[in-house]
Amino acid sequence: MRRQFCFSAFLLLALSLLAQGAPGTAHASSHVLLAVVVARNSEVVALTLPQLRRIFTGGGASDASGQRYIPFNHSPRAADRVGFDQVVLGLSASEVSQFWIDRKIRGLPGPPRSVDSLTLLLRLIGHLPGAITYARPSRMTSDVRVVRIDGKLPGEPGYPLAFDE
Amino acid sequence: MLNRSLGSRGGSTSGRRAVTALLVTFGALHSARADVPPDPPVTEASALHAPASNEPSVLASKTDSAAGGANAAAQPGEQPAVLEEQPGVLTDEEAGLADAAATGQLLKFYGFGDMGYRHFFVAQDSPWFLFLNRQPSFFVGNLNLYLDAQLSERWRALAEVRFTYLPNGAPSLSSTSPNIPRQDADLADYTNFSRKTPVGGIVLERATLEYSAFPWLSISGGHWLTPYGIWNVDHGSPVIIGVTAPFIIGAQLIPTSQVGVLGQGTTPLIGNWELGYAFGISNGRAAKVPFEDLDGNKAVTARVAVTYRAFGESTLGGTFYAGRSTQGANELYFVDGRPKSRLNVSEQFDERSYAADFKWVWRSLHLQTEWLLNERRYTDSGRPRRKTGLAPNTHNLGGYALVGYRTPLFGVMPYASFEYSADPLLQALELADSVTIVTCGLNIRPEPRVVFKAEYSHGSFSGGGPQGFAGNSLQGVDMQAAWAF
Repeated sequence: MRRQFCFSAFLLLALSLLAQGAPGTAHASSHVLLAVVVARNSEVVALTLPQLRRIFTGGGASDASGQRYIPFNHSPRAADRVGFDQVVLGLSASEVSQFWIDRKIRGLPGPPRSVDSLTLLLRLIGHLPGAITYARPSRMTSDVRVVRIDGKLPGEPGYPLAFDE
Repeated sequence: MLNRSLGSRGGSTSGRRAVTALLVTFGALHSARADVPPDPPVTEASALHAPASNEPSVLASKTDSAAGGANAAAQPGEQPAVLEEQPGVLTDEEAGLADAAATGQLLKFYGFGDMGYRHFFVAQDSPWFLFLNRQPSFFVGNLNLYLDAQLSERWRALAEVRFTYLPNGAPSLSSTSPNIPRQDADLADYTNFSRKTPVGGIVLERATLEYSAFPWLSISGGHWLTPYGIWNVDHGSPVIIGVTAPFIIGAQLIPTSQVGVLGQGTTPLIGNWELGYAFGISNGRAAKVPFEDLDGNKAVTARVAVTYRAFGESTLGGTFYAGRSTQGANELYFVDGRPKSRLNVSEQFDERSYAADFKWVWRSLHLQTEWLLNERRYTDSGRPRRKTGLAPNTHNLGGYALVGYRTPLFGVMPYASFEYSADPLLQALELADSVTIVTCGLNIRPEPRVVFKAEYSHGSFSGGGPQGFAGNSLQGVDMQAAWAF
């Protein structure tokens, strides 16, 4: 009986390792950069990746002037949201959902608010003190300004907020 | 001017209305989803001096003139003046959506539930069946509802209540006779010809008003879960890996919850390091009388934890608790014919608890362990009498270690745990002093909101009085379906 159990456990582990190591299906992909943006008149010019993670996981954070960050997300299934969560939080779409469910059950505040329309979102960022979000550099407006992440701007070598779509 | 006035931290009503109006105006574009073209090559110049959007501005100048002294957090439900000036622009529902985008819902309901199945593989005459289910049984374990209200930017109210079948049907733990009666809460239902209806109860898990004083410190008042270790904070069945809490958590060497004031927070250190801390003052153990401190000696809880986010996430924490616990009954007596009152203490002890916890989650690997030590010293007037004499001072130690691995196969996580726990309740009943439990099981999370668990446990007991149950081990299977809503 015990031998059977050990064999079953070994089989399960072996299958899982095989499944993890299996190569993904080859498909065409494009490299996407995400810029972190704040209001044009914000004092924030640079953040580190851990700071960004803290802001977007409800850790509570404020800039040098004491202004609290108000993070805004894209809608849960948007490609940029999925990519941002993967790069910054290290979580897949389903893991992110689980992360916030678990957090609420622990009694902690829920996720940042999400706004479906990027146009609305950038306008909101541009006029709400402390607001912060992310978007592709091609979508920047005059209301917002890009923040350096780990000392780098989008497109510079080693810029961390990049993913393959 | 608009930007400057919105940046003000003043809170005039007209200002809030203006911001609400601004957000409502944003709502007019709500249906216009952005098409995201492929990214062109990015240079510093294009990133820092991006071209203005070609879309027409909908920021009405009317909002500019009314924006002075605006607070960033517009109030839900507040009707913006601009709506009246631009009739037909937005429906009430759209206005609400715009407000919700900026402020969130005022009151949110969510929670979790679980149903279980328990089957013990021991002889039908095991003495443990005085308190545990003799036959394989289904049951609903937890049905917890959260009421979460963000009252303003910095104030939040959170309550969690558990709906339960209890006290109906619960075996008595204070009976001194060999027959263990069950609580009977079958009451005549006046809406149904006074037929008997079983009545359950509500457990107040927590109810707090929280003020976020700084990003690194929030202060809560009310009934809070003691922020020690891992399991007591996780506590919800969809979140915890095993079916039931480890024995050491149920033993409450540190009280599960307290009533008082709690300050807690986190602050980043260098790099990937983060410091967490908590400090609380309370009435002490809240199980018997949660709304009154029977000894006037406030309990203190302090916690420090360090989190490192590289190679996954690991947290090492330590918690200290000190307090006096008192049980007794008030008595009326007379001196020279004048009424007086006093507390007749039946049990009183001073205690100190030390706890350490470590959790490491790296990719699919999950490891967590918690250990607690409790020192309990009875006062001269509060030392209770047991069957075998006066209760001794105690040093109780216990903990658990759990390791799990989330496989990619349907989200299955095999896990195993080892527990050793001294238990004050078993000691008070003189049934046993401590228990050792080995568990292995599967945790399956096919959806983020649905979790299935199945585990096999073997528990052996030691110590206890001459008529204790220590020679009777327990083994069985627990299954659970848990959900978050």
